[in-house]
Amino acid sequence: MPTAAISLRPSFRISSQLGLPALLVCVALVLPLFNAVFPPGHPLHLSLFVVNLVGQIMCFALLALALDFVWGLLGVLSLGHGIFFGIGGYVMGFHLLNSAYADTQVLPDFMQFMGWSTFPAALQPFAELPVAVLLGLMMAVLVGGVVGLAAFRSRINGVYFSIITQALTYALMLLLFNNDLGLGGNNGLTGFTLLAGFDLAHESTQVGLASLSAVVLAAVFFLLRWLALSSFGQAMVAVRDDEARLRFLGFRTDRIKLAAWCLSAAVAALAGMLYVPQVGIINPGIVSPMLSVEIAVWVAIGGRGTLIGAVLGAVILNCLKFWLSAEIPSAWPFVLAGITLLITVALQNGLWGGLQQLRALRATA
Amino acid sequence: MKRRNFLSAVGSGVVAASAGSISQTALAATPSGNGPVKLGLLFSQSGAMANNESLLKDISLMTIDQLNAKGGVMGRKVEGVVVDPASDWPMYAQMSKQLILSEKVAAIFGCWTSVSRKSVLPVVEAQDSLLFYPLHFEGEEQSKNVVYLNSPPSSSVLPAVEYLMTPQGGEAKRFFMVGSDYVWPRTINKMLKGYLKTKGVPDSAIREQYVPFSHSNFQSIVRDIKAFAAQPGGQAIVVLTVVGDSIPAMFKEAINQGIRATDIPILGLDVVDSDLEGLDTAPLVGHLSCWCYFQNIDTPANRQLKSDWANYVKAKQLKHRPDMVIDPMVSTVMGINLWAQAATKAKSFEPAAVRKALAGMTVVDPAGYIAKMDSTNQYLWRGTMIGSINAKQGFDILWKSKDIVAPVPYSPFVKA
Amino acid sequence: MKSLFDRLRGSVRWRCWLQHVLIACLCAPVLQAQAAMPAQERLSIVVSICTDPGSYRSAMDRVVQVVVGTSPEDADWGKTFLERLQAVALICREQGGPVFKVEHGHVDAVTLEPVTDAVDELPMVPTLVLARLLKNSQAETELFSPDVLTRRAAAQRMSQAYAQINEPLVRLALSKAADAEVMETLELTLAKRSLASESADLRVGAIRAMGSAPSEGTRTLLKNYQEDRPDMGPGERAALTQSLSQINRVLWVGKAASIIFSGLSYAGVLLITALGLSIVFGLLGVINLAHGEFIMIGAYATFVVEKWLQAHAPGWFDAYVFLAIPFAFVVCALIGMVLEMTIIRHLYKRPLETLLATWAVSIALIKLVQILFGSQNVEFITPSFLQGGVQLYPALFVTWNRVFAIALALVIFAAAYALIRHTRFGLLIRATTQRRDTARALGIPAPSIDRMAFGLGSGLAGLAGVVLTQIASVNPSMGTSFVIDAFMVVVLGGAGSLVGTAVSSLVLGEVNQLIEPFYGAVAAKVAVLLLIVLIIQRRPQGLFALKTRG
Repeated sequence: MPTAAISLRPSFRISSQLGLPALLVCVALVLPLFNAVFPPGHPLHLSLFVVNLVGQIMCFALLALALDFVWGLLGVLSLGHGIFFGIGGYVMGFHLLNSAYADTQVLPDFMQFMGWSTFPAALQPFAELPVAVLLGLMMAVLVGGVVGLAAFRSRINGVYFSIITQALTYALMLLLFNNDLGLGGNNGLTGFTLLAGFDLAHESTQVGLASLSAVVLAAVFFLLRWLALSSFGQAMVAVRDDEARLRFLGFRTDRIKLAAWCLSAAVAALAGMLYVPQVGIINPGIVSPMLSVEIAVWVAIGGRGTLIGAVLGAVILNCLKFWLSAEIPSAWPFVLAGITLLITVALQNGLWGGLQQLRALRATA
Repeated sequence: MKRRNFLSAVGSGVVAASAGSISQTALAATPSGNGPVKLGLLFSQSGAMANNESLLKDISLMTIDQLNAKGGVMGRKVEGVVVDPASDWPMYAQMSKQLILSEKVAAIFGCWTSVSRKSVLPVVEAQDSLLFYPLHFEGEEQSKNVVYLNSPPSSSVLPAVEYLMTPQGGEAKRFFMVGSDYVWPRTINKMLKGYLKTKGVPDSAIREQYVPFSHSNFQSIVRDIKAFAAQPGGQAIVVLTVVGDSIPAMFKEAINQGIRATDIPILGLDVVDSDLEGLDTAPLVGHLSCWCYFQNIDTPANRQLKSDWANYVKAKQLKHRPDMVIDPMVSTVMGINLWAQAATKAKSFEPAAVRKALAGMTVVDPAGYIAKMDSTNQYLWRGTMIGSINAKQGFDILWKSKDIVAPVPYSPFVKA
Repeated sequence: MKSLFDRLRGSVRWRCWLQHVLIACLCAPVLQAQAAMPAQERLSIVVSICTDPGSYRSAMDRVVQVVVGTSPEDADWGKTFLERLQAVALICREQGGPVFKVEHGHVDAVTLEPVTDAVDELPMVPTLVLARLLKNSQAETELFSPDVLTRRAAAQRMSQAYAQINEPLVRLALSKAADAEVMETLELTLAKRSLASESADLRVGAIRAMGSAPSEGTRTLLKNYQEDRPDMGPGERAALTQSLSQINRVLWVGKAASIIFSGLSYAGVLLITALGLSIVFGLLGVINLAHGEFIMIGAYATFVVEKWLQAHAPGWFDAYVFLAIPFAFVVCALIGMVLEMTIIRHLYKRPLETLLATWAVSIALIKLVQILFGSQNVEFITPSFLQGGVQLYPALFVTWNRVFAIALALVIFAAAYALIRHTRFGLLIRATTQRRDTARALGIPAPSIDRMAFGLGSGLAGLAGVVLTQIASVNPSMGTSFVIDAFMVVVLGGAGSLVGTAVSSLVLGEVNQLIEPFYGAVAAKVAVLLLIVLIIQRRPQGLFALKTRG
């Protein structure tokens, strides 16, 4: 089923989109500066809590970018990107369990109540950080590849694909909740102490992680934007607009889709890996169907297909969520619902897209 | 700067400003300031745990009001900061960070499930704060940043199972364990298996089965229980460690399939009066639970507490039943009073000082005991009671301990 | 059909004659109408219950004798005693003697005269052991009740508790029994006890009796017997093998039947939850992620009806499910039509946007219901005609609520099918979805039909909610767990095809229940989901595809 055409292709050619990565690098520098230089109590001091929050939002923005890459550019709506976020998160969790065990010689809680006496061999390959990161990315690509192959080969498209991704994320969530698998179950993975030799409880580590997240976001954005502007990106957009025609022209559309899909999976896994050390716990809730739909909502509200819109949507909505959940908890679902409805019905191109349209209108007026 | 960058900058600025404003207002209320002392109330008001945890939030607010009516603590008013972690375990960690770092609370009262407590544990340990935990749990933990207000298995599960194995209790010889799949049921069952082994119960007489959180279809499990009970080897009992919504679902299925307490007694370790609400409990009469408190106990302190709660519910028009008080609520009240006493004794609200002052402190338990804080492990010594479900959606007290029981944090029956 | 006792009797005639004499001698004292029992006797019974757990058994036996064989006045006292003890209304006072709590005060436990002084103590809570004895004793007294159904139930209890019964009393009841079913059950009870008899012939007879009354209990008894007596005779061994194989065969059939039944029940749930979705998704092409919330609203509508009836028309309470059906349908259909008018109408050609928009509506609805009703489970009181169940066959116990759910699901399905296939309205819907422009050219108001179809789908979801109140837990977020399953059913069955929905519900329900006993509920669910994904690979349009607006 062809999705609605987006009349914003010109926006990719705006080279000053480099502004966003530059801004993010600034943020990455500001965070540690304002946290360390100004003492607590100073109006410009950024507390650990705020820095941590910014770091988490960066990870969500990365996740939104990953989804926008396949949805906005490729036209494939995945409502299961939580799977890859979860894979990255859990792999990082395995690594952190390893380093915590090496540090304290105490088995994690869930292993104790399952009755295990030694650190399981299955988790030991994740002991080294570079290896763990690599393994995590590979696993995400593998899972993405299997799902993509199965789906794209049989031409499952549009809403069927979205529903199936929801079902798959639901299945994964159920599997993870089961303690017999030895992955922490409902308890999740906790008890993290060290990351690459740095003490996770220490304020400077958290600040560093937040900065790192901002930098990674900038780098990935740059990369994805470059891809989008390349001929590969044009092929993706062509697949989105009329796959049948492209196929008849001789392009291997399923390969294009698979490649983009796997890249998106890897980026989502990366987001997960950055997220877990900052939150300090990972549990199957991260793979819940609801969160995966929320990611799509961030992208839709920000403006899909524009990459920058995804980041914008993720940032704005998550800030709103954190703020509202603290102040008026019961209002958040209504606010989210209202914004989503407004965007889907009226502002189909999202906030960023709407802005672009406004500019275009002004330019022609 | 181009417009889009400006927008993004404004966005980040809004974040920083709002966060900054939060930390500004929190400054005045630090433990060492002059404004009100803040206590964090980390109880869910939405999601699976909402039903139970909102009771604890409201009785905390009631106790805080009572403290303030008596002049507050050390001349400062106490303020309860309510947050809603929405029954999402990582949110408990997030909110506890917010309470400690942003709101600068002197202590946190919170959590029901063990998994939520375990999520909060690293946060309170990293920030050296205090979490007062009001539920009975699986033990195997002793953190200087947690005050354990209710019993570990040595003073709850084990006495109940021992009773069921005596002649008056029915000489239970076979055990079918059904639990929700997370740390508390898994640890309890592990410990029970170790204990039963020392009593010579063979492996064939024990069955273990776990269901996901909020699971509600117990058709095949109840069928399995009936088949298990029909096998040779002696009287079978069910040790039920499911929580939340699964409890009424399990009981309904047991009623429908004809399981009665006289045939297969069910020991529901997490069953409170609120779980029996709306059920016709006449067919459930005789099934058991064990806690440190049941509301039928007739002591002056309990009568006072019950009438205070009833008045509070009516005055604030809360959605709770005014005539229902359960053990975790009582534990929370005792916890807040203990904290107030300890802070007054230590003349400080700093967690380290309060912790020192808590050792050995006593407080009145409406269940008819004088509860005492242990001098080394931060567990509260409580009494033990076994309750039997009655036809009025409540519990009759079948047995109670003569005095408070020494809590054992690390059970000898849990093999390392 | 030769009675069990006859068979036993035939083989050991002279021994039985002796038994008859023995019975008569034992029961004679019981049967004699005695003078009224002295108060001392009553008091000693009550005091033993209050103070001495070791004497529970003998005290209970004495009470039963009192009820069965003495003067009517004492029998009444005995019955009151048993009933009050069970109602947790016996108060063992230290001073003033034991009393019973009654509706308006207290009465003395011995004389049953009203007691005026204040009573502070709490009633005695029977331990499990006492409760068991109490139940057996009550059943023993009910063996002599004038009502035949009571006698049958009492006989069943005797059979269940065969090891602890008062044998002479049971024999007495058997000799006076007139109803065939009661006789059979009591004979089985005695046969169970005969398994431990001295006489080999009696034991063989008992074994054969077990074989003709297959159940988990009799199988256990025979297995015990097998293990305890490795040195039994050839006759016994032959009988044992034959009986065991008979029982195993019957139980295997029963177990298979019960798995099929659970599968049917699960399939019923899938069917009704997916029905509305099939219409909305299949015929309208609308992805309604708020479908689960319509189910939830239907359940809450039932709750409202239940509470209203409880408050204003308690006599009609049991019918609340039936009364809720039209109410829930109308409420959900109206909400659905409003939704269609305001939001969905703008999004018809854009399925992905519809998805997000309906998701937004769903979270708002969940929060709204949470605010209005609270986020905890709401409990439904099962109507009296749906309580309990029946043992259809050994190892096959069906609960009435599930039977009702299956039946209601089928009725609703049939009605929906008839509506779509055989009414003008259904014709209009099909015309609009298959050939929209032609339909409009013929003057059919397509937008109104769309709206009404969406209302129909939502209304059906509401009906699903009504049915689910009896078998699932109801809370604001219940819809989310059903919506994914419902979508899977529709995707597998073929969007738009009602028959496809029915078939795929059946398949998925049975597969799930087949896997569950072996690998657990989670594995079953995951396996079913993966199965669907695999099938969709081969047949992306589902099993029964229907041409839609696509």
